[in-house]
Amino acid sequence: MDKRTSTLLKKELREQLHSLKFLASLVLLVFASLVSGFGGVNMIRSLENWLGREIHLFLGLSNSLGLSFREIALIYSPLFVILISVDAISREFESRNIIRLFSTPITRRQFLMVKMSSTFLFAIIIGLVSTIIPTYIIYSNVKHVLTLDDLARVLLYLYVYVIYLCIWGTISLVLSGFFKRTTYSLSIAIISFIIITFLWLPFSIFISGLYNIEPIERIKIERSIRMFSIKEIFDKTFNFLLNPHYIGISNGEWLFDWNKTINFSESFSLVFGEILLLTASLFLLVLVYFRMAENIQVKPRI
Amino acid sequence: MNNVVYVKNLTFSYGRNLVLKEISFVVRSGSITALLGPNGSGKTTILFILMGLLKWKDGTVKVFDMDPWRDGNIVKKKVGFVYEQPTFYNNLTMLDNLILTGNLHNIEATELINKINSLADILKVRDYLDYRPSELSQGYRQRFAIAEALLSNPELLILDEPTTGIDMETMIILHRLLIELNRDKKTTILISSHNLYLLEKVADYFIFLKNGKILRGGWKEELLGGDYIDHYIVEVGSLPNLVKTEILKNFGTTIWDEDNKTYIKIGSDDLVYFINFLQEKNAIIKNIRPLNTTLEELYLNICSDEDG
Repeated sequence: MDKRTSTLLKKELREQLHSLKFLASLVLLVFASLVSGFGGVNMIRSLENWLGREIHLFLGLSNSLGLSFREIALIYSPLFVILISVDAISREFESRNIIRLFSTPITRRQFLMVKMSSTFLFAIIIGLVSTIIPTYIIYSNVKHVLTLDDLARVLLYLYVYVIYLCIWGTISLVLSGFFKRTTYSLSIAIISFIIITFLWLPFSIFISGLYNIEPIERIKIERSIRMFSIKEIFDKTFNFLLNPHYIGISNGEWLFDWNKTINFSESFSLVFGEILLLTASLFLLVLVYFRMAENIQVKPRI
Repeated sequence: MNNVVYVKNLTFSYGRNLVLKEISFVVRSGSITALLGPNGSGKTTILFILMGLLKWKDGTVKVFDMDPWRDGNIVKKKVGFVYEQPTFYNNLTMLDNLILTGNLHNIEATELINKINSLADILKVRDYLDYRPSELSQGYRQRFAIAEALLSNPELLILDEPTTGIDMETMIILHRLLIELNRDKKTTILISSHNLYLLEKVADYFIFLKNGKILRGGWKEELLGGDYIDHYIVEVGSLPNLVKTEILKNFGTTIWDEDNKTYIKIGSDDLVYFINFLQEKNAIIKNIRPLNTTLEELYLNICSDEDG
């Protein structure tokens, strides 16, 4: 990284770290992760009594007190990433500091690279915080022995999780650069998030319901439509990676095996395509993002 | 003289709003070139294009023989830019703001601090280096913006309305600084301003713009002397009041006395008749000198004529 890029990156990180929204997001995230962790411990203990020792600790992570591990990963964390990144470019335009920056030898591509790097860095921080805190609490409280299989699951999950957060970060950056106004980019980013996260499932059910076919076929169509949403892809990956009781989908229904726990490599092979899809989506979004470099212009005030 | 800026048939529009119409001009190395024109004439758009902030489609634009959009990062190593409403990062002190810009110009740390201190002294802002931008007046922010533009020792300094909102002291500092930069460091300066007083003092080449077109361009001597002399001052010995009244009646001009002499301002068209008149009255003509057109008069002539 050359001096210009590192200088700008330092400035960007300093600005973000001192911003109220970052500090507030981090505090909320830590709080949610603590609740998720301790809630997970309670859930596991009760499930152990019910199902026996073979219940895997990660099941507990997905159900607790409305601030579950799953909700943090699917809702809160992406929202925090959106909030942090959605004004990254637009605030430079709104404050007119973009004129200062572009009056120096920094290139438009370097500028975009800095904004993307800081967004990805915050996505990694958010991913790590919201994974490590609950996982650590649960491991240390239920005295579960950490196996290599568990570790591999957590690490791969972390990769997919960060990719998912980076996708939302890049979407926000693209909107921020396109609209150059925070109110517009924030509104569109939140609307996109609501559609993809909350409305996609009812939408897919509505569309599949239009076909006059057998219920099983309809469910298949519904699942196909759902897989056009990055949230659904991530959700499936989340389930398969972290809960070893998921073994597949048959005729549109999830298949569980509570007694025979499958190993990491089997779980990985079941979601390999989805992981590849998420990674490719991020790659494509980054390409679109850098295409903006050709069109970042600064207009004088009339 | 080489051309630092070369613009040929540049046309530019914001959507359907055509703001520059096939304009062509050059800025010669070592000159102080002034862009003049009413609001909305396209001055800032030209400067933004030269700074690589705007992408144009039609025409040729070269700064140091390079395309400022495509090769902007190379061009900007040689160019300093002062914008009308200077902005700084509010979470940084003015010193940190200047250090940030210096680092973006890749200036070595010790050299940068020396340079900041030296410019802070010249611009009389040393006491304000630890202030934040929001704590400073527009005038001080403008001084810092000038310091920032000069950090990299630019070969070309572009100033867009640098006198907006500044006090007289800042104006005097700016005036002297521009003259010194141009004289001592051979910095080429391109300045856009409504401040005709400053431009008349510092600029040696003028470009008059209106509605996106260049109405006239030329060197100072050419525009404010020669063809544009429309008045003369005739100095005569003391004149009787009766003659003065007759002059006022016949020529409707200005007469004043100073040190036992009478001065008459006379239009160039009337000069011959007026000399004959004085000779008829046996007045002693001591001196006739051209009264140069002021930039203000020239500006009004050129930019108002267009409407008619």
